[in-house]
Amino acid sequence: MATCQAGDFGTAGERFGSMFSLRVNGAIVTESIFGSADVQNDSIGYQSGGDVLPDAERKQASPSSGTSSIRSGYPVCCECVVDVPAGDVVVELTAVNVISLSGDFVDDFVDRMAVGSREIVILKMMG
Amino acid sequence: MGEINYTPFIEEEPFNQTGLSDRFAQLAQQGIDDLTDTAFQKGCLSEEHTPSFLSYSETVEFGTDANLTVSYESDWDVAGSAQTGLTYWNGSTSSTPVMNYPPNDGVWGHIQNGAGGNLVATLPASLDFTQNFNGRYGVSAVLVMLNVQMERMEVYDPANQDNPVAPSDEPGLAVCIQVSDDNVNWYHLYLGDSQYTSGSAAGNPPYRYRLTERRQGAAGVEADYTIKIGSDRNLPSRRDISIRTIINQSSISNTVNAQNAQGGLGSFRYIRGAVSVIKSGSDYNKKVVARIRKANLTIMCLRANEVNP
Repeated sequence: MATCQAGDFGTAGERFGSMFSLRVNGAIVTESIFGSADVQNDSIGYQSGGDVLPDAERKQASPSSGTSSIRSGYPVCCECVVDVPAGDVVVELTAVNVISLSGDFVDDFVDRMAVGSREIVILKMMG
Repeated sequence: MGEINYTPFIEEEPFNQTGLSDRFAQLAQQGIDDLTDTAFQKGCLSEEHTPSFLSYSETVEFGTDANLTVSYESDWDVAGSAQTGLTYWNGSTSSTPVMNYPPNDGVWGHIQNGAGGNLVATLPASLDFTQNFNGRYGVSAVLVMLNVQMERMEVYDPANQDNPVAPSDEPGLAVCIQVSDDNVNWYHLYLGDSQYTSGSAAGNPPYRYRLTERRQGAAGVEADYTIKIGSDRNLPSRRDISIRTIINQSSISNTVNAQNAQGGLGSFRYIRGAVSVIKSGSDYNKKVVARIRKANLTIMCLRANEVNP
């Protein structure tokens, strides 16, 4: 399980959101992906004309972006239970700026995402 | 039921005849002779003695609508020009956010259920991680899981608190996990020191990173679309805040005392979810109220060895 404080920053008022997940031995664990593009977690996308719509309705994938403001950001929590092979196992919390998935450049000053406090907890259980 | 106490094998201790004989001797002398008849009732050896990596666990849940009657308030003293209540930027006297230095870094309060209950988990005894295996009840760390469902934020005129006003900036809610040894004085779990200083802050530097703090802004699709009380002064924002953390000896030694020196706590028994209200920018002199619909707190005392790189 991993949690962190995140924020999306967009001076132009358009934020495409971010996604988070756990990665085990280099493979993204699908069920750990944070956000499902529902109202609870979806960001609000501001078009330049001032429209305020959930990004899912704008056909832009941006689950888990938090708010329409950069003030406070939003909390992230990714969890999963997975079988792992014997030997060394690497578990990571990963994040992606969704704008990069669209093929656009990530501008340092326009489309930033930030992660503050973060923690990852691993319980190795023999079941 | 009687107890069986023996010295557990430590890591890499030889598992040989001598070691086993010692334990069997301890079992016979300290344990078996002390057992009462009730210890051999049906099921006692399967339920009480099943190996587990948990030595204790507890869950506290607040799930009723009474939670919404609780008002988490950050107010402004108009006459004294000072912050009051559960204020995150508790040193602010202007639109520039200022937080006082630890341990007064923000004013934090209990999450409450509206019926006199606080979201607090209580260990059976005070726990000191510096003790040996038996002294710390075999517990190496405590896993804490906190979930809070934020309901909405409300903004009022501090001079006339029945009068809702429009927010100038986005208010938010901060949530964290705190520990205490007396259920009165509560301590943050810090990660490290910050280099940032503020001449406007009261207390002693440095600022410290609150490891478990999570913040959630109120703006969102519900705040924009939901029918609101008082036009745009009530911000529905039903969002989940989930925090997971491990409390270990490092966590406890990083707590600070009233002078902001490390080592504020030696042991702890109580764990709580705490909240503080974020007033942003020019809303520093307004009254902002947060509402929480649901919350739950789970603690698990782990017997497992912990690796903390």
